[in-house]
Amino acid sequence: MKLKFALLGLALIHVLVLGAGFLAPYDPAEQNRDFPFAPPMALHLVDTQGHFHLRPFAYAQIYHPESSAAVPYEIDRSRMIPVHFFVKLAAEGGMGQSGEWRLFGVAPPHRLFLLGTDDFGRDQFSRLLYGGRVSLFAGLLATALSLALGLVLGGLAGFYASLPDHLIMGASELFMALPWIYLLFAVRAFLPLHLGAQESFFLLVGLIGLTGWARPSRLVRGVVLSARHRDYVLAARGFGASDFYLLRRHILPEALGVLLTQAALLIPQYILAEVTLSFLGLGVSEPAPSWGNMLADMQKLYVLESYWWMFAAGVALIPVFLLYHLLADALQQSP
Amino acid sequence: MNSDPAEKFSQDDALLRVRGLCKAYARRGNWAWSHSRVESLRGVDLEIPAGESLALIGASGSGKSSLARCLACLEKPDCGEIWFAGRKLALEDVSANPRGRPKIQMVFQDPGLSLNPRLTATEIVTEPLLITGWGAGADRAERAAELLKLVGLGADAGGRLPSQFSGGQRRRLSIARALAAEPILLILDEALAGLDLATQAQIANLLLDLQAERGLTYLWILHDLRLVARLASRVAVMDEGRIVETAPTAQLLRDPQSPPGRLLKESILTTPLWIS
Repeated sequence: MKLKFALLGLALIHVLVLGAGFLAPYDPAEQNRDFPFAPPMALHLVDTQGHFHLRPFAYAQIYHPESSAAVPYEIDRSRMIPVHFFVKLAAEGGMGQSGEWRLFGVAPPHRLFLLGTDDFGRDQFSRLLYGGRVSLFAGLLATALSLALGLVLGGLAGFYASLPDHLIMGASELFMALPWIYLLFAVRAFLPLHLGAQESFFLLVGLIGLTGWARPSRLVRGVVLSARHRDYVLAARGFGASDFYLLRRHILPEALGVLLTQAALLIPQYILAEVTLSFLGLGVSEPAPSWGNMLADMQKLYVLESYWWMFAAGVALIPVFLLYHLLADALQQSP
Repeated sequence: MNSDPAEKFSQDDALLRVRGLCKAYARRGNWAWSHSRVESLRGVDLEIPAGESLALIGASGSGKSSLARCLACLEKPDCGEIWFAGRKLALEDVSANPRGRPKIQMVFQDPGLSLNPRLTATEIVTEPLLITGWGAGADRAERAAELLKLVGLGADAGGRLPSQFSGGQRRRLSIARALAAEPILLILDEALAGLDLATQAQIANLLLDLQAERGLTYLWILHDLRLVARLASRVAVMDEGRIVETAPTAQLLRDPQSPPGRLLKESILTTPLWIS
């Protein structure tokens, strides 16, 4: 029950994020300089006269640049912007090509900002979806890297014991004793600061994954250490099985359950690592969005004070975290 | 190494001859310098002619299982000689000789521990074939089905996990696995322990039939002297890492010469079920 709920929830979030190219109405890098920090626009079905419309609509927002208010926008209830479904994207975007189909959109002179905009007038809703791709998959990839390393190193340490065990476990203790976030800072600081979006993404994934191998490798080692003396392993040895065969067939499958639970715990931790580094400007670089660099705007006091919708990426992290921890819990209970 | 053992040694030679085999285990204490040695085998001499059933009896801790493991190449003896089918075998374990000694196979004491709970019966029986590179995938599956049938497991047994078998069926499964390697000498380490009498009799009969059919040589490790009387033609008594007495079964059960042998015989007489 728990397991199903967690898996369904996570699948839904990942599908939303993967479908950004269709679900997001705008390109994440597309700027609207005449709409800085526009508040979220609500969708309505009933107009001011009380008439019901089958097609949802939003009211136009008027920007007053000379106003001294924190949010210098006024809702113009006389101008309704109807929302159209399955529209072709206009030809202005940078990343999105013209002629791409989108789930919904509004006729071009108007703009629809479901979650408001940032200081460049970029649509937060689109950035949230595109950024989720970066943040969630950074977590997944880094976890895969950590677990692969943990499986290999922990397997070696547990299976061969003696010297490899001492060396690998000594190194893992060192890695666990170091506070990993500072370790990441230190390593990241040695590397070039300005990188392309893709390079910085893979660099980040590599760094996070490589620094996190210690815990999974210790867990795998424990399982392997107890599994390698079982009679069926001895029996297979008696038939002339190679070490590789024993590990693959008999020993490592036992570590699988532990690794699954570990994955469910590591993924949110690594998502947070990506968010933290990007928040501090060491991660995925602008203009590519990630949940971390979307939150980076909150470092400015006036943003924090006035523009609550800039929290969107932080709010999006909450269900992701809860679902992953629910998954870990469920996996632990049903081995 | 011992691919074709029948050609080389003459009929009067023993299939297996062991001379002065010894094995000690190091036991680590709480400190690096405080480790002790447990001498498990202290010079074992043993001969098993081809086709014979030898029973190894003795109290717990007398070294029976250590001997079995050294013979099956699962552990490396410290000194001594092992001759098998007319050839002297190197003293080694599988880490030095990854091919192991497929012609000497062992049926392990507890099938609960010696069968991987994640593998199906077919996968378990196929394992020796897979490791030794016997045949193609389809041949192996066919051979596994034959072996399962040979040990009396039904046609539907192949897809089941060890946990879905009864204790007796699991013994049959481990016997099938050992037979897959086509051994000449089969070491049966407590292969009948922990079973009810009917199942015990069925499996004992199965093993006797297999022996008659395939000309196998058996080294039984047994506790129950009623079974010794039925199954073995000769008995070796082990005590504190040595073989203290070897005699034909009837003679040993009637008149044991060594103190440990007498102790074992006394233990029979107190068993009310014993019928001589």
